Amino acid sequence: MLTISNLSKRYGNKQVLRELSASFAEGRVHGIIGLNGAGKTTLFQCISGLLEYTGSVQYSKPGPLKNQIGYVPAEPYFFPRITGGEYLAFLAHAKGIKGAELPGSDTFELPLREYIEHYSTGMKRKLAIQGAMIGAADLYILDEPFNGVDIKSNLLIKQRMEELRAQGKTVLFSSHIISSLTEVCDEIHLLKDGRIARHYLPADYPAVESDLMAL
Amino acid sequence: MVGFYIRMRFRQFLRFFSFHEINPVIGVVLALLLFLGFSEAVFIKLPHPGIAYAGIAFVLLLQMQSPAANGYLLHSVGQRIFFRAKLAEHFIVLLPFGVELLVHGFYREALGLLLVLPAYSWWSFAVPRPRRFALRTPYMRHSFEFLSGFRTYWVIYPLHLLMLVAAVLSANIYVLLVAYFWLLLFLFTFYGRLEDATYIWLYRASAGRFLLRKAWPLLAQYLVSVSLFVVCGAVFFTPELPLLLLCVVAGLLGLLGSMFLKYQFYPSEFVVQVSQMILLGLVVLCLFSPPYLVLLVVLLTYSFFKAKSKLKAILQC
Repeated sequence: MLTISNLSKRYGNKQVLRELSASFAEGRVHGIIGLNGAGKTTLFQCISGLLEYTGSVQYSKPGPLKNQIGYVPAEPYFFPRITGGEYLAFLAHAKGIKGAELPGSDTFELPLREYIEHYSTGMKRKLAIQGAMIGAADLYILDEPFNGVDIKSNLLIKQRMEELRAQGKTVLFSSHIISSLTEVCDEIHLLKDGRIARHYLPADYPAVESDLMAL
Repeated sequence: MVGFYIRMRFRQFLRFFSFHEINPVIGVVLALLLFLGFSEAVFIKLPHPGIAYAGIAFVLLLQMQSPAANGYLLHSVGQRIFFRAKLAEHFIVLLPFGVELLVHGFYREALGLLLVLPAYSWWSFAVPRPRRFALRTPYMRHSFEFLSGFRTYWVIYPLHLLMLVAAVLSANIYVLLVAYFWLLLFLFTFYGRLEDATYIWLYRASAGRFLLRKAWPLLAQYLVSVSLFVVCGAVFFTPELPLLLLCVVAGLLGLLGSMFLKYQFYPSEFVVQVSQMILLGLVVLCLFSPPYLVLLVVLLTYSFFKAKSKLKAILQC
């Protein structure tokens, strides 16, 4: 169980998260929705420990939470003149996975021997997702994973999420594509004014779109 | 359009100071003072100051290029306007350097800098860059810095080799030193580049171990890079070998220090760059007065511990 209590984050004068409290059950896929600027990315960065915050984030499993997270940022950054394969090999090395070879084929059929700057937006997104899957994480945080990806990859990402759920992993992801959320999520959390304003179970999903429109 | 582009770049320059919470007027004055002080130091301290100064100016120009921004501009305005805009921009950037060269009587170097302008502005869009497939290297799994820097600025290595040949043919130790510092300056830029916090965060290692895991590839890559310089020095400049080895040691300490400074002042890019420039100055100073090596080691140690404590927060260990 991932438990967040009274989480607050401020950028200068702007209060983004206000004493947010929520709990995310293990082995489930959780969707986070909200308008632009609602604080979804900030929430993910706070949970990952990439941002300092006030309040607490606790995970039921022992050990540093950071080492149990596979994280895909909203705007993945890549060094210039690095190939996709080198990027994945570097991630494996950084996560302490020994003997990682340059992968020849992969889930998303990416051209791993090409420089990442030649990748399209969707290919970069897929590479970042594949990178997050390296290492034995328990909690996957995917910030807008469906942005810019084609229909085939969209299906592959959903399949991957379902596989993770079947393995007992927890997935948190944000998206503005309601159909993607409702198809794959066990629960959806609406972020508004820096707090979780509403929590939806599958039976409530028909209300998600109208609630978002009413914001 | 060119005028608009130049005005926009000037506004960006002023906003650079505002972004770092420095009043733009004070920022411009400080930058000017820093530039004048740096220029004087180069002309007083460095051998062959005209060539070194022109080289530094050109390296600075290379550093200011953003492939993404250039690509966007080229596609937005077309080749003709892009060329004129870049030519004007490069001219403005190199103008103060050219004036300094003229003031100090280095007319040939100033002319060289002026002549290189149109060629470089043309090259920045006209030469295709088809390198879609990359050669595998033994560094692939290690830190990105060298791999990324080497592939972006690989041309410095053949130039370094040419300078070494010129040094041997002319039996001029100063040319050899210029060849070394040319390489070192680029290595500083490779390792001085700030990475996104995610790429530090994802390491499953303590802060000390993280720094060691960055330091070992740096050591290996540095030694491979300077090996030709050392061989040339040992074979053709044997009496000057102690000075050359001092260069190698001071350069290595400086490079390690620059990496530690990066993490000490992370993520403030401006502070990192200024502190790295000061460190580079200290490396040069070591050649004139070796006791400064002690100061370099002290600084390195201090920076290591400061970097460690900064990294602890990001690595959460």
